[in-house]
Amino acid sequence: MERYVDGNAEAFDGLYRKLSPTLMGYLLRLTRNRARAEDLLQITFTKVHRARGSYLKGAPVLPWAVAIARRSFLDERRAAAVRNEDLSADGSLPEPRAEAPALPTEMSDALEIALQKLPESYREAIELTKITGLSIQEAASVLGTTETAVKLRVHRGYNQLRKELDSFQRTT
Amino acid sequence: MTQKDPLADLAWPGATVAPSDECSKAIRGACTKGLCQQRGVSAMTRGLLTLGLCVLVLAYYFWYAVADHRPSAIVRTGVFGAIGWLGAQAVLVFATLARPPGKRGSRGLRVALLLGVPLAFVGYLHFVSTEQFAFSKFTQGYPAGHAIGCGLVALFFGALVAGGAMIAWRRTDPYSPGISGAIIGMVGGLASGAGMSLACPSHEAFHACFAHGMVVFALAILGFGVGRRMLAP
Repeated sequence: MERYVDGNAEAFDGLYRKLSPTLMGYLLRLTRNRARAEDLLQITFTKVHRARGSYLKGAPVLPWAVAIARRSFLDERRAAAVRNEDLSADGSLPEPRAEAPALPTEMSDALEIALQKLPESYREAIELTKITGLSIQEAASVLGTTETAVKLRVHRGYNQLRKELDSFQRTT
Repeated sequence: MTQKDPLADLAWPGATVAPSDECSKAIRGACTKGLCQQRGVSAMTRGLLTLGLCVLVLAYYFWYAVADHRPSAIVRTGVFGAIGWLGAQAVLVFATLARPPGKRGSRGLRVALLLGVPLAFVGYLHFVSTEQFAFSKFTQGYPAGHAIGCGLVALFFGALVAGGAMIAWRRTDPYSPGISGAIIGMVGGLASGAGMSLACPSHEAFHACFAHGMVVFALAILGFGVGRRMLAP
């Protein structure tokens, strides 16, 4: 990151290779839509590029980039919420919603469905700590809350997940 | 029979997904075009810039007080108060915005200071007041007009400090820009509110608390909104 701030284009390639898969995975989990996730990835890197001068030397890069990605997602969602109609690029009406997912047959499907059923705050805390791999402290920074709150959300989220997966195990 | 915990040995979904080549190409193009060295100022310099703005505003208020021949006792009290609150501003800037080499204070500390410091400031203004009108007298005629005038002047100079500090700290906080903005607004309000004790001839309790003290609350709230826009990358 510091070499990129110094104007080294090759350093950006290294940074992009390291950050982009994690950010893309995170954005894809937030949006559940590949095209939107790629748009947001572009917005995120544009913001990283513009804000590189304010990056504090020695600070961890991944939480900084994840926080920018999350804020980009929230801004985009807020903007979409105030639009009256979400037309596609050619001006046609949006496609009807996909049908409800089929019943899970494997544990991984059940986990995905159970994660989607969680309240947003619990899901975000679990995704950042368990899937994206941030520490509790880093996740708290990204979510703009305290470490205790993150631990509490993860704990409560786990309890709900445990119930959902337990019922799946019993039915199979 | 004990049942196995469903979360034990669970295969969590993968964290990484590769973006498409077109997307990667577009990002590389945008982020490496005309790339040049860009070394921003350190957290310490940003903090000192913020405090420098506070000192400038206080110096202006002091100059005004001396030029307008304020009684020396009032100026002396005002100077001690302003210097004391300048210390508080320095602690706020370095403890909550950027402790060298750039760590921010915890969220709990930041929120507690954001709630506690304006109340402490109003308490201080009430404590150093030398007289107190009846509230009905304060809200009518000259006292009310004077309070509105003082409040607007304090708001103007506080906004100058807070605006300058916002520029100094812009795009530095993707985590909680609203809270950082509120703290910057509060620091600007404290500089202007404390400076008004020098420039304003009235040391009446209601006047001091409303006209000089409310600027801290107003700029903290304003800073919260502006900070969300300016301080986030």
